[in-house]
Amino acid sequence: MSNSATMSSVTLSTLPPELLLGVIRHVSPHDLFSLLLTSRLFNSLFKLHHAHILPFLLPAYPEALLLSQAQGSRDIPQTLLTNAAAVSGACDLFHAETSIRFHRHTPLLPCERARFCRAFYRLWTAVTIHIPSKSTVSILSCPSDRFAQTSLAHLTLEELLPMSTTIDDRELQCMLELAVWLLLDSSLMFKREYLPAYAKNWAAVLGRAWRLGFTPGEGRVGSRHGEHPVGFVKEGGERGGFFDETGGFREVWDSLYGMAGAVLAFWPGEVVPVIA
Amino acid sequence: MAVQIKLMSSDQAMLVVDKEVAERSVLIKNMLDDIGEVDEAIPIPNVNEAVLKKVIEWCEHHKGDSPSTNDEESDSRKRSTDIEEWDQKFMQVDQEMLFEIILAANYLDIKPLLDVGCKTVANMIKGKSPEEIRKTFNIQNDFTAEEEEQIRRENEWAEDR
Repeated sequence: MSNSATMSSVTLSTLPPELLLGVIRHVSPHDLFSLLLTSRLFNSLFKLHHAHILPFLLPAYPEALLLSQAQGSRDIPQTLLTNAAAVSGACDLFHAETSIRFHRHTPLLPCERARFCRAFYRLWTAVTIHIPSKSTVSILSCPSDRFAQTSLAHLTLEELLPMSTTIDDRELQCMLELAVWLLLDSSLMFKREYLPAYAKNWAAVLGRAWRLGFTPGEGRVGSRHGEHPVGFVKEGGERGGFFDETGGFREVWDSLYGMAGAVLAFWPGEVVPVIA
Repeated sequence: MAVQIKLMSSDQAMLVVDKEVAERSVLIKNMLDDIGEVDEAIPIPNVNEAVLKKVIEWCEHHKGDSPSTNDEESDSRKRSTDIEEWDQKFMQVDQEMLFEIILAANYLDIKPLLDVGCKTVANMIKGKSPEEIRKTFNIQNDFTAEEEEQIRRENEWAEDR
């Protein structure tokens, strides 16, 4: 009988702890939840070794932990775990969506585009709620160059910006904030091979947003490069963003425009200036 | 002709096996590196004949496999439930043999076999309720109702929502 239970001397419960940990690292969080409820043995094992187990179950857990430590937070484990689980779930969804496009090497269909934008929005929401001050690229838990290669940097303007009809203002605001955040991220900024694509695409996003009626906001965010004003508002609409409201948009706009210009000067012909 | 060595199981059974096959075990490989060629059987005191035969069967099938890389190891979560078809069939044994294979793989230091064993157990846990897991593995519930409720609260982050 295959894998049937027998009254044997060797059972799952009698395996040494290191082998039980070997099993646990292959289960999903949900299955772990069930396993922990079976007996004290597994619950004690998890409590003793959770730092070793969780990175296998939740890719975002190390990020959440680092952030918690960096902020001197005394976050209770449950909160930390809930946050990491939420971010991991959103990341998985986002990667599933982007991989569709990456493997197909073709423009997104309208229905795929809408799904992608919504997955992106859910990810962004999860990140901003749970780990607000962390670089989005880091949260996505993949190397920045691979991220650039496989997803956002290669999206074209046409794919990103039928947004006025397929996603709502709040979603667009989230994407605009992410655009600024990505441009401010030095790990991407100084990768020569991806910079032109970034500069072109995201400057274009901001340019189109400007034309769609989004005007300078007054947000300001601190980054490793100093303090940058960001934030987007649409006339008659609510303010978007999660940043403190102390700065202005024009300054960011100018610096992005300046960056795009610098890219153009450095790699002539590789970047099409799209900002009016 | 391939070089052969002899292995002596815990129940004193002698098995003759190709050196290349036996060296899937890091323990045996290191031992042979240290002592060189020997005529005597190498004692494997923690593994009985039946289990040792199964382990050798696995090593025979996988003797040409390349060693796993760090990348593969770091990617193990993504592929956690993936088991090759041959390995799935190989692991279709009763639980005692399954856990004996896991113990033997650990003792003999055959990491890929250990991984397959652990993944097989993880797949047996997959999608089951706590009660179903207890029944599958003959686990005694030693929680009080209050303790069980507390564990639920502590780990609600992992529940499907």
